Amino acid sequence: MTTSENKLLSLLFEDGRVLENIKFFPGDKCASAEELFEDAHEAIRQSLSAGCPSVIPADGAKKMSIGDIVSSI
Amino acid sequence: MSIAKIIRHFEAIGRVPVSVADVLKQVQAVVLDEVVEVRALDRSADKIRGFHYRYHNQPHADSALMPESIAVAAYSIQQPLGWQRLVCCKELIHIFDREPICTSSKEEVVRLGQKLTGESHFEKVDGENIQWFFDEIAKYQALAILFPFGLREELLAIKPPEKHDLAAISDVVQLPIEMVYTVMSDKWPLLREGILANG
Repeated sequence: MTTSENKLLSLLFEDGRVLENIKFFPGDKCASAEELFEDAHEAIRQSLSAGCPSVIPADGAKKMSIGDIVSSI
Repeated sequence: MSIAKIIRHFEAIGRVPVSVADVLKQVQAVVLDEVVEVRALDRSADKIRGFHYRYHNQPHADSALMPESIAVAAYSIQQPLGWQRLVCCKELIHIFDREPICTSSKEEVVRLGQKLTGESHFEKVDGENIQWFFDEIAKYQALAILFPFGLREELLAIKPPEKHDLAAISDVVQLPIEMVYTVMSDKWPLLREGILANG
């Protein structure tokens, strides 16, 4: 077992929490499981910290009906 | 049938961009007994764009109550908004995962990581990679929610996909252009039907 694998599994299984499910969306530069586990450990730690903002991604554009889009494209 | 219902819900509304906030409301309306939290991570998306993490705290020895589940849908804000929306939506809908597609043991976590990064040698068709398979499918389920099928059909009624400006479509749906290409491809209706049938 690698160091990063150990760190991630410790976080997921040994902090008084019981894992029910974990899924990942890897980035384009994630070349190995080692890199994934290392980054996942830090990302999960950050998400559990009190200061991590609870913000939903914005819409990014004005809402339009399908009809309006079809006539404008 | 929860994900299929959400896809149909936004198809019936027929307005884009679909708000991820509205997707969260739909998810929360289904999973009333679970805490759902969205987390915006100010960190690079190079290695991980986002993740779904569901857990419960270990129950106290003297408590008869089962602790509630907490689901965290996290995404990196250091990626384009279209990716943030897709990733956050994908991680949200994993709340509908149930056994056996949940990744809940140490062995499954390791195998999922290896498979996602191409390191796994487990290629047997005996269900060992079912957690990875549904992790992949969730990307397309999220895409089906955020890109209503009616829009695709209306656009293709005007002209064929190769004549469309995919960047312009990407702007109106606020999704990555790679994903717009997927939806506009001739394979998408079949994939969507599979998602609806199993969702």
